[in-house]
Amino acid sequence: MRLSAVHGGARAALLEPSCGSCRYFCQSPHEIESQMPGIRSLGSAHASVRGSDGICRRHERYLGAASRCDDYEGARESQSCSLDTQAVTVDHAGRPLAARWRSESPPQPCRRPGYERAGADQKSEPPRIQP
Amino acid sequence: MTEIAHSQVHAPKRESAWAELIRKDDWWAIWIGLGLVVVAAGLVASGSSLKWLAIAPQKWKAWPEAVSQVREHAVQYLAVFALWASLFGIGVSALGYRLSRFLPAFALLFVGSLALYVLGQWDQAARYNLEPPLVALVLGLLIANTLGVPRWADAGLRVELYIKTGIVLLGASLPLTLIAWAGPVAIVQAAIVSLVTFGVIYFTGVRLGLDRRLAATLGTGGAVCGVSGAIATAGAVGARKEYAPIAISLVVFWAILAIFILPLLARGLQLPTGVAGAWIGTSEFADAAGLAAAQAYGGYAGHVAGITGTPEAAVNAFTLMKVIGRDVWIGVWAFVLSIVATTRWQPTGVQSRANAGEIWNRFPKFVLGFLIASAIVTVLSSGYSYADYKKVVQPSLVAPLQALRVWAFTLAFLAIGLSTRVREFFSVGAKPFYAFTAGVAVNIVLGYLLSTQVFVGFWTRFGQ
Repeated sequence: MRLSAVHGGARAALLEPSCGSCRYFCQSPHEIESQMPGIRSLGSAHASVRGSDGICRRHERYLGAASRCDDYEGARESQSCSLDTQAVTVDHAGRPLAARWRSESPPQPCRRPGYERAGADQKSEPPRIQP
Repeated sequence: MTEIAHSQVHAPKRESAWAELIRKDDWWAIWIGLGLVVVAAGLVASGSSLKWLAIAPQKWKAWPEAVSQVREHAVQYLAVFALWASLFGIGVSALGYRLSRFLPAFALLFVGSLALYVLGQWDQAARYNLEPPLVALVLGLLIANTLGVPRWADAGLRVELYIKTGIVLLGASLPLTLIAWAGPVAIVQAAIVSLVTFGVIYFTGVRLGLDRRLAATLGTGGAVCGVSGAIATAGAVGARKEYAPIAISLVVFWAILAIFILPLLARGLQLPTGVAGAWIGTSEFADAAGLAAAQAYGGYAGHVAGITGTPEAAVNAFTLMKVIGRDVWIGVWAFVLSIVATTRWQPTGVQSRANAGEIWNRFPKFVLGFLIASAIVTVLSSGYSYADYKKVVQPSLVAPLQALRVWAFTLAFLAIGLSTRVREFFSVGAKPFYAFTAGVAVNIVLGYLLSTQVFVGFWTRFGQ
């Protein structure tokens, strides 16, 4: 398919891919609630204030869907944690997403010694993960 | 290079803007809350009322009296259960939860809430500090942290959906004119406290060596709107994944403590209900927690010597201060901080994008429902004299909606306790704790001074 033949909106998305369509980005409120202990006590991942933010599993960051980086990898709908709260469940290898997180990228405990300024801000180069 | 294979084309899957109307609990709170207000108004216009359905326990002195009261109205209690189960059931299904998990969890939550609602009507409840919000919280915490709550029950413990629905219903008992009169004062007072508290937490955190993104996430969590503020800011500044949970744990820890501390302090100082509500609205960290504290304090009016004002005034003042004064500004905070993060702070490897559209995207939409509910009842009431309002509108329209609101709040208060795990509080680390706690101290003292000294005349009048 020629790039010029691609529909305008989709072409823009191809030229400027953002986190919202990246395979590493998870927007499912259910996954976010399971990754962020305590959020349900006095809040919700279904709230409007969350906008379309999600978790980047590559950079281990909580980001807006319009963010972007050099490590972008597009996702097929069935392979990513998509915008549809009920859809997403398998990764690129067909394994359940939650199970993959458990086996390959376990949720970090809150007491992670990475919150101090010197360590955190100097990490401009994210770790490379082979998908 | 212009050839792109089909398999490589990964156009983002975007939901339409309309999809948000069924994917966010803010909108479900609006549909449910406003739906009830419209139905109630329609019934009143046709000469009927929602009174039968909006059953609420009456005052009782002896336990057998309470039991017989519930038995006598058993059909109405079943009806109100069916109403809430169906409305909230539709909402949580749209949010992606299974109805088969929601219904049993909600049934248990409702039974517990009924018991607490009845307990709150005991004529000695205030004497023994058995205010339903406080008892609900303690009971829920005890159950969740000793017996445990199974995962499937999560579907029924949707604190935010219940509390936002209650706030929309609360709009029906607050005239729009009152909101317009008190709103600006609430905004000024809340702005002072929010800016100072954010500054204290942020700069303390930075001085302690915290990443600026964590300091900002903690700052908005403590200064603006608790858990919502923390997740909105974390996303806007591109925080590390663990920052939001750290802020959330601290918000929940202090918010739950404040539910007990603030009413206790206000009671000791014998503050009028309007003044105490304003203080709680300024110094509490989350809507649900603050409403629990405000409703508990409102319960002291008329039962505890020296506490003046109406019971409703505490909840009304809290809501104006917290919702109008603080919550609605979260989009602005997130937008400003995203600009600062992208232009001033060290890069993270990911480019966050500051976009003014985020102010609306992150706007807590349930506030619109609160204002529309207020407008509906204000317009309907405008054709009545004050005497007729008290005789017709109050008992047939406002009172049933108030009773339904208390149901929604009681469900939320019990759900808070049941969904809180105390062990999560102990994994945040010392430095974030110190930074946040510095903000808590300043917040409570400044909130007290503004509510009881600077604006005391205003909030006292508001409560009468």
